[in-house]
Amino acid sequence: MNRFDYLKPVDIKEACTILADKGSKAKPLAGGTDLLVRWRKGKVCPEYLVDLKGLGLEGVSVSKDGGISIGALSTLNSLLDSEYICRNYPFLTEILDDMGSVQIRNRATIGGNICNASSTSDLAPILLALGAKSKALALDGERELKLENFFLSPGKTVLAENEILADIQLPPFSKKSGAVYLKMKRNAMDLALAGVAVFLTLQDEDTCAAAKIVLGAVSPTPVIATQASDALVSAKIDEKNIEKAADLAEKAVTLVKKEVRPIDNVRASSWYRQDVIKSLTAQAIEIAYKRALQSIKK
Amino acid sequence: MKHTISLKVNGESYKIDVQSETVLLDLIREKLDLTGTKDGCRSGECGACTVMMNGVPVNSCMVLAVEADGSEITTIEGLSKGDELHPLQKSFIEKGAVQCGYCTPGMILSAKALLDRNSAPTSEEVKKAIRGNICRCTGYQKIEEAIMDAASTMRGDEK
Repeated sequence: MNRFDYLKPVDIKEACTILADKGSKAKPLAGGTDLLVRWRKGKVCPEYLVDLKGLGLEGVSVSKDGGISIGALSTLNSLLDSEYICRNYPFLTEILDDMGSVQIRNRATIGGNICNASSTSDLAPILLALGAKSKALALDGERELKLENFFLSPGKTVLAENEILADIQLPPFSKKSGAVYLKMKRNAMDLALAGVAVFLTLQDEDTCAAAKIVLGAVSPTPVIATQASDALVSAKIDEKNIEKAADLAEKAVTLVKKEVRPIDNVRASSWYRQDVIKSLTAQAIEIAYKRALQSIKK
Repeated sequence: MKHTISLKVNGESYKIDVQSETVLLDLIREKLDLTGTKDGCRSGECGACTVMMNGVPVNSCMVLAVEADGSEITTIEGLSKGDELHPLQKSFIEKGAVQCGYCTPGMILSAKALLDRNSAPTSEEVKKAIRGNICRCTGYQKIEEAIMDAASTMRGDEK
């Protein structure tokens, strides 16, 4: 067993100081549901674990414009219990409800999920689709980050060793918008083999004003399928004609496939993941469109 | 590094020294001798080590003992009142929801956490509540029945 010292800073300043002092010898500890497993398997051997819980980085706060800031140390279950999220970002509640087990969700945090930069994160695609931002804290100040620039490779992010992810900020969710994340997996506790997040905003009942499609679990980091997203923008979506929407999805998918370098491994081959992405994208666009329509009619 | 922590387990207060690397599971089993909590996969997959921490279920293999400083823990030993078994324990026996028994403590604590929040769960909600608990013997049907039955008993439904 690799030994480490557990350190519990009392405030953010102390946490940043420790991280700056210890450098690569230290690892920040959030929920520990990934870190402790990897430590036990010998995949990470930190000399220090710096517990970030209890520094006030928990909870959801509503900003003036109706958007939210989610504290990075918020557990997934605390977010699942958030009425504001359930009312204003119901698709997020839906995703959280289908992540891991109750036991895992009581420990795992949203910041941990993001900072792990796992290619199979269920949260990253939808957060990217929504255009989430984050704040990183360090001793010498703070900086704003766009989540779409956050992931470098599996396990690697733009955060420096002495920085702490403070929050995830979501813009307000418009009345004309619909969003969904669909994933393919074998059973309840399984990781996604492929995932697609779609966020649509309608101009009116027929026309799509803005769209963002983000793919997860098919590439080392989440992929914003720019061409696929653009293909939907300003396009007419005829409610009465489901086929037309499906055609658009199909069109989006052929563009999607060019942008993706699918993961090819023992869990699923690349051609299978590609096929799944195609089908999931079509389904996700349809669902997001229906949801946007429903919210317009409300 | 040694840490001195204080915590309550099944209502009893403890002040105890632990190493940084000690996980809650080992503290409970090895130091407190409460071996009802089972050691399974040690990676948060099987749920055999489930305990309640401040009222919610967690995998005790994935919580450092030092992280549990100041918390209240309930293990399977904390459910019965003397010789009087908890309704969930009774139901598990009556419905034959126990075969080898290794998953049972974790199953029952996950079920208790569900019933604490939701006294009348649907079968779908029961399945979701125990999806972090793996049983390799019974096939879950009897476990689900036992939980539904205990819920009914705890609500005081007429039978």
